[in-house]
Amino acid sequence: MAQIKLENATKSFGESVAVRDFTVTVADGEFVTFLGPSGCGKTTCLRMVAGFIEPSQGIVQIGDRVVSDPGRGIFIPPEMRGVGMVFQSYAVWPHMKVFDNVAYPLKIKKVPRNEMRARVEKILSLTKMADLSDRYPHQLSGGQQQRVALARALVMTPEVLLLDEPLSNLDAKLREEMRIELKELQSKTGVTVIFVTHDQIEAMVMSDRVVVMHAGVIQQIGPPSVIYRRPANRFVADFIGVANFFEVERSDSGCTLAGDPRSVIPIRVPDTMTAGRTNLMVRPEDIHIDKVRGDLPARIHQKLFLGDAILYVVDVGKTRLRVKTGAQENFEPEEPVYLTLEQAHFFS
Amino acid sequence: MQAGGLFLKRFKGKSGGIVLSIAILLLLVLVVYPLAKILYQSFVFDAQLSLKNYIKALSEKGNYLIFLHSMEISLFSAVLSTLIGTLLAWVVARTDLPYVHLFRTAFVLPFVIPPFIGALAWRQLLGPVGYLNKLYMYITGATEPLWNMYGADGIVAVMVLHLFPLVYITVLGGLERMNPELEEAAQASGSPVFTVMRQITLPLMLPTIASSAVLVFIASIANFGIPAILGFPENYFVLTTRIYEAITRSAEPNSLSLAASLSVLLSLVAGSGLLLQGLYLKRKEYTVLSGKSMQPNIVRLRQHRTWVFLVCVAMVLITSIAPLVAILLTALTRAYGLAPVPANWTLQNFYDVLFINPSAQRAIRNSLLLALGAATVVSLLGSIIAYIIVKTKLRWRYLLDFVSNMPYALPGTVVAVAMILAWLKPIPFLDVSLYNTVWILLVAYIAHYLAFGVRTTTGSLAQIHPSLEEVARNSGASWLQTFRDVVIPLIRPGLFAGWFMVFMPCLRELTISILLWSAGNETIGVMVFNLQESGNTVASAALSVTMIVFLMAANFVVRKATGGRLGY
Repeated sequence: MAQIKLENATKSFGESVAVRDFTVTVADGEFVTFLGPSGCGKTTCLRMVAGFIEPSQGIVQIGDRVVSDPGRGIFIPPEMRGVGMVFQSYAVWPHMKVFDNVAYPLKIKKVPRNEMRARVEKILSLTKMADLSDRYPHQLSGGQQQRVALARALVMTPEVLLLDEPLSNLDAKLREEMRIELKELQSKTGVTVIFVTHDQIEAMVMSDRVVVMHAGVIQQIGPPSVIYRRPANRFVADFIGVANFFEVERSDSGCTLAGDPRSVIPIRVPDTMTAGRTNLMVRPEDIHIDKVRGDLPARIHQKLFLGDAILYVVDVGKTRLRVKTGAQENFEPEEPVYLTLEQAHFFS
Repeated sequence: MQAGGLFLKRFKGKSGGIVLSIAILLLLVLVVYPLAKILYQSFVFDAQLSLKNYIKALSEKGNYLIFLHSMEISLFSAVLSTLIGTLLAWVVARTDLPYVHLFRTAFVLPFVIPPFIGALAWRQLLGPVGYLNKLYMYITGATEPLWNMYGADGIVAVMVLHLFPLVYITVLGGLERMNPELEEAAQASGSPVFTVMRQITLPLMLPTIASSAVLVFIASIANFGIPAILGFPENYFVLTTRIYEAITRSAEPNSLSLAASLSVLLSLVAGSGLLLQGLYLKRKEYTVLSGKSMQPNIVRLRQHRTWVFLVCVAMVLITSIAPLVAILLTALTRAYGLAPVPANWTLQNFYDVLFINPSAQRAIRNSLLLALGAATVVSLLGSIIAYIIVKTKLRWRYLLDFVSNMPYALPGTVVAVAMILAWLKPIPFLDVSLYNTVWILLVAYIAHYLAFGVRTTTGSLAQIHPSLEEVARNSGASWLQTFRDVVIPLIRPGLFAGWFMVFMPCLRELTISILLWSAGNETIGVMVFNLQESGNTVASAALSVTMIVFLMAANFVVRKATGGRLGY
């Protein structure tokens, strides 16, 4: 089980830069997710670790081996890197049975038959595919094919496991099950994992740390709780979870809504923000609604029942906010209320 | 038929019923009747029903040998074409060959040259007194040519040079659409690149490769021009040329019946090949397509780059440039046999053929009119038949599909013989015979290429939601008006594609025309062939060059007009 290090990795395709100065160290046994919208470069980074893309600049290291370093002319091809990879389309070979698909990496290394059989059967039972080993891929469901791909990646007991949006083709329920199973597999095998996804819930649920990316540049690296509670910039705040934004102006007692000097929010704007207008971000669960007391007068616009919570769409002047409360707090549309912000973040 | 007609009437209204019935009638007359006639005739010997024709065909050494010749030519052509086509497709799709974009289209060029013209060109290069042989004998002082292209070896060689693009295009398409992650997964599992090709790419491509091999086999066994031009001088016959001989040269009684039985045998071989391809191989083609367009896996040639590049250049020179140069040189030479050096060059041959020789001009006009007529009729008739297949619920509509596809599955020779047998005698009541007129050619072209019109329109029609027509009918339009105002405009791209796919082959056709032409009703292909056979090599070459230029121009125009979608 190994550490993965990317140092200032940059990849350009002609004029366009897909990834810029990407630096991350994934610790031995850690589960790290590269998260971001389509086209942000997360898959490119993953493929640089796998060896299907050679960085234009920068160093990629797996364990204590430098696998890519264009500056020194080092490039180890994918077949010699010893990483397990699960592709987005699963890439399970249709002309081979499940057993042969999973056994393939061992066959290449000329592992003796008995040992090969034993290892394949072990990994198949670990991925719950034991009684399907004689089937062909077209006889399997999407979820089953994905497990075959996973088993094939793990049968070599790799130090590193790379997963390229493996759950995006599955239905919601199956996705949830697979998330838990993947975590279990990782703790059982202790393998270092890099997981690529655009689904922020997936990233938060599964990762030890998340690398948030946008337009080829890292926006923030940190554990899910930190990313959520202390987003580094507006993009991260907006991409992760739900965020309410409005413009405020600095005032003596804190700040006021832009254009409405009478509204007072008693939260200090940090000195690091520029003078004048700033953006305030507040999460829906950090807003408190009350009938009589609060900082901001507001009016309920819509009430959406979520089961264990209620989502209110509330208008403060011209700004529309989303507020999440417990199921027992009852307000009705058109009702005038007061809002209090319990926690806020500021971005320039 | 009664019930079907009533159903049509009720469903599609009066005009619809009439049009659809006419279409079905045409199909019966154009396809079913001639094919039935040829089948019947094959069992007629000395004006009696008998199996004698088949017995003669299979047991008489002359005939039996010809059957073997056809098989051996086609098998060798199929195997060699598959090897060459697959290798070239792999090089273009999976390596970092320099100028790969140029090679991609260059390898398809042989398709633009009609096969019989290629045979003529190669005869001029490597016939016993061909340019290359003469050069060889001049340089080395040998008395025997380096390679005499007449006979089986030359036939196979020219077949391969003309048919490998069939394999190349099919396999190239397959390789490019294949999900590259399938190969990457093997690499990630530790497999070096060539092992990936061997254990993953090749097995997945095998059904596609085998499928195109069968298509080459069928095209090869149905070809007339190449075995005629390169086989006649050595008395080497195959089924198509033997049938030609039986019909045009033989004074023997029962030769027409023999031709019929040989045609049936030829059809059985070609048909079983198609059955194999359609039923077995097509089913096994794995869906290995990828949804997203992904970067394909490229193999770096490194130290092999140079020699692979040179081999590819040589391939292009041999397959496309050499024959074109040869035929052009011959066309420019004052008389065949003279050295093709600038001193002997003249434009007189072109002038003769295009402006002086009346039969050549007539041939060009005939070909154009026939091609235009056939393409247009096929488009219309094909679209109506496709409509019946896609849009009605008639129980026997799949039979219609089968019947309209059949004449294309059959070799052109068989279609021609069927037409002769069907239209030899005058049509009752009208007392006019189609035989020996230009109309029998038109009818034969339409029957042979009808499948294109049906197939290209079927796809487009399937995408038109029934509600589009229903709305028109609701607004008061008759079936015919709806077809004209709603359906036809929507399927226009398919119609155009079908039209083009019939126009080009008809223009360059030889196999059918050579059996159905008569004085004054020649086509360009027949003219080229006849000029060559009567010894007027330079005129034949001039007409060939004109034909190629025209084909290339037509191809270019269509490419421009459709934004590159149609054409080579």
